[in-house]
Amino acid sequence: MGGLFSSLQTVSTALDAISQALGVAQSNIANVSTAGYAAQSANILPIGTSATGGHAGDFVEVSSSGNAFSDATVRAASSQASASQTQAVQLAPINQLFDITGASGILAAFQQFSTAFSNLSVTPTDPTVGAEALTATGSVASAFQSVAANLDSRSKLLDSSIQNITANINTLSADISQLNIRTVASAQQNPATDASLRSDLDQLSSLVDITVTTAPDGSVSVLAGGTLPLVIGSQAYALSTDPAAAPGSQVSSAAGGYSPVSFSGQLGALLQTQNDTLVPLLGGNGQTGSLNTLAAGFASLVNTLLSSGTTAAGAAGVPIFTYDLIDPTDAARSLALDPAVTPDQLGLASAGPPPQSNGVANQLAALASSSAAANQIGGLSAEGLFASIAASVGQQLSDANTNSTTDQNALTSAQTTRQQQSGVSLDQEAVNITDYQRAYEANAQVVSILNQLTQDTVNMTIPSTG
Amino acid sequence: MTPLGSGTIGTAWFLNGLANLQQEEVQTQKQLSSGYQINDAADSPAQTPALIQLGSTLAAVQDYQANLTSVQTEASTADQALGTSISLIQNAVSLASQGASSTATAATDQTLAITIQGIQQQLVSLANTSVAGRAIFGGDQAQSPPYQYDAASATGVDLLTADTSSRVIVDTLGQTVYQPLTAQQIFAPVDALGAPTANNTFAALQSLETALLANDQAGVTNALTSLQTASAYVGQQQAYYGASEQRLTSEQNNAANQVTTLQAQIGGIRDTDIAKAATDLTQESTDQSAAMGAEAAIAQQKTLFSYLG
Repeated sequence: MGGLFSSLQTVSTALDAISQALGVAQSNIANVSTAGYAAQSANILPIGTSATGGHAGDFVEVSSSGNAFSDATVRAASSQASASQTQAVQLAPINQLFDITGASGILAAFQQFSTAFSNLSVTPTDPTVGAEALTATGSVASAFQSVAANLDSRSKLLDSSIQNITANINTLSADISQLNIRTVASAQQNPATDASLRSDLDQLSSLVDITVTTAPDGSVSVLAGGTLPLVIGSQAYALSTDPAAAPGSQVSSAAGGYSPVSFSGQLGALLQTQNDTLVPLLGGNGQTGSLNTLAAGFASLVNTLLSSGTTAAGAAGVPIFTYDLIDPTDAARSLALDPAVTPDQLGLASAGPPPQSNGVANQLAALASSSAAANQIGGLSAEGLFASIAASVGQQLSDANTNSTTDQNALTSAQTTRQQQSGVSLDQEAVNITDYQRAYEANAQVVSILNQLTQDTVNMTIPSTG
Repeated sequence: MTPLGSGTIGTAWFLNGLANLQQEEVQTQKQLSSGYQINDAADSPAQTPALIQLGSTLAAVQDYQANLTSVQTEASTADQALGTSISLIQNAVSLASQGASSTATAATDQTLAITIQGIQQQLVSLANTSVAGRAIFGGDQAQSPPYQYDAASATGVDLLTADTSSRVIVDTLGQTVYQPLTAQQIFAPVDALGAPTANNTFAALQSLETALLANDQAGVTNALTSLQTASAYVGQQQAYYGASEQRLTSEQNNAANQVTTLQAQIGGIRDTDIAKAATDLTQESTDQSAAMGAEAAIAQQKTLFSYLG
């Protein structure tokens, strides 16, 4: 009888173990689409080999198929893909501000200016044509103001986005620190906690490039940009950002220290757009900004030429552009046509030799595209400098678009590899369930037989009353 | 291990590939609808400076064309005015010959003088010829007529404006292609002291009129000589305008050729290769259909669960 009861206990333990393995399979199937979920596998150990013995849980070894290397690869690819995609989105509207077709914007205004003064060179004393030249001059100023205002607006949106991304990073960091606490407190690996952690880390990696290290107790430490602590064990360290600061000092952690010069992820892309596109255009951090250089350079050349000329009445010409002469980073924003200037004040005659009644008008008509050394701004004609600016922004957008496609492919590839390694295979789970079902049925059959044997044995030990 | 081709992985690749295909298709459609393969700097950053420079040069040449058209009218009108002037001067020469003949009487000289006075007034009117409200012989002060008839003046006219014509029409390289003359340069040249030279038409006519009124045969003969000299001089000025017209026409033709060349160069860089874009669009559409078909096949793929009772 003792042997039969012992066998019954063994079978009971086996049924428990199979039931637990079935639970693992069910969990896998239920979480096949859960973000961050890594497939769990149940390994049933031979009964009687447990060190502690007795409890069914000791005979089932549950392990996660999560792979730290493929996780790190996906996160790195995610950071790059988010960065290039974000940069492409940010640069597209900036690129549109620099119309190269001459249909609108600064280039169109330059060409209108040239045409107006070309017309005026034929009829330099015509007040109507003179008024048209002043209107064209005003259009140049308006075009610069418009581009500068648009860039200012983009800059503010960018700052706001940077703050939002930073807030999201801090929220995720706090979540991860809480998951760390639960992981350390839990005696066994919890698939739900593991899935939440992986999901949070994946989300975080799209916001900023992160380095993740796992401690023996299962908790993770997360560094942003490879240097700034976000999470260490149960402690989350908030990031703070100051987009107006110099690169390298824009991002800091509550744990101390500043960012590296460049980040990846959405935060990195936004900072890169700020540092490598908007600041070089609008100025700041010790730079004048190419848009301001162009605006001030062109206005200065026009004013100098008109001031050197004389009016039809023989009076000295007057400058027509006004702009901030004190702050060079404000030139494009402040460029304006002096409203007090009238057509008869335009100094269109040059002293020569030989004197020409339309000499200055001729020079102004050719100014925007002039390659003469005296007419150059930073070694280029005004339109040449505009072309250089437009090409630079265009190149950045083109690179971002190309990188976005490449990086998205790399991310899909990395995700595929990870899915192959740690994703749930419904085929595999179907096989497992069938196995467990057969094993359960076999053990149930053993229980039935043992039950019959026990019944027969009991019957044999009872004396017959007949 | 999750096998390749499973729903999740296949969908990820499908969506990624579909996004790429759609992006390419949008780009191709944009090229076809706009007719341009370069719509902004990002489409071809390397060719942006060249495109802008060609566009600027084209705009400058078109401005130059407009200027040429404007001054061609001016030069043509001046040429005609000087032709009429020469005819009038020749009429005056004819009248002077009559006055200088031995048969001329005081009465006929008076009649001739009145006719000469009319010629003087017509010449003043020609000197004040205007196009689009501008006196074409007015020099730098083209907004007002340069002369008025004044019988009491020594030359029969009063100069109303300064005698300068420093306005020059330049080509796209800044070279002068046209500079108009003033009425004084044509009809009333003076020496350094301001005295009329031998080429001064107004002075010659006034001398003729004075001599006729005085029935001064010698004076009429002298005036006749002066008129013939002045007529030849005005003829030279007309030749200047004739040469200017030829130059302007030649410049107009050159500019038109330049516009055609520049437009072709810009088109070569910017315009869409329609045949290639149409082929690309067909290919992209085919690729999308193929991708959709593949995805449909993947979506229908069963797992072992499908076969379990």
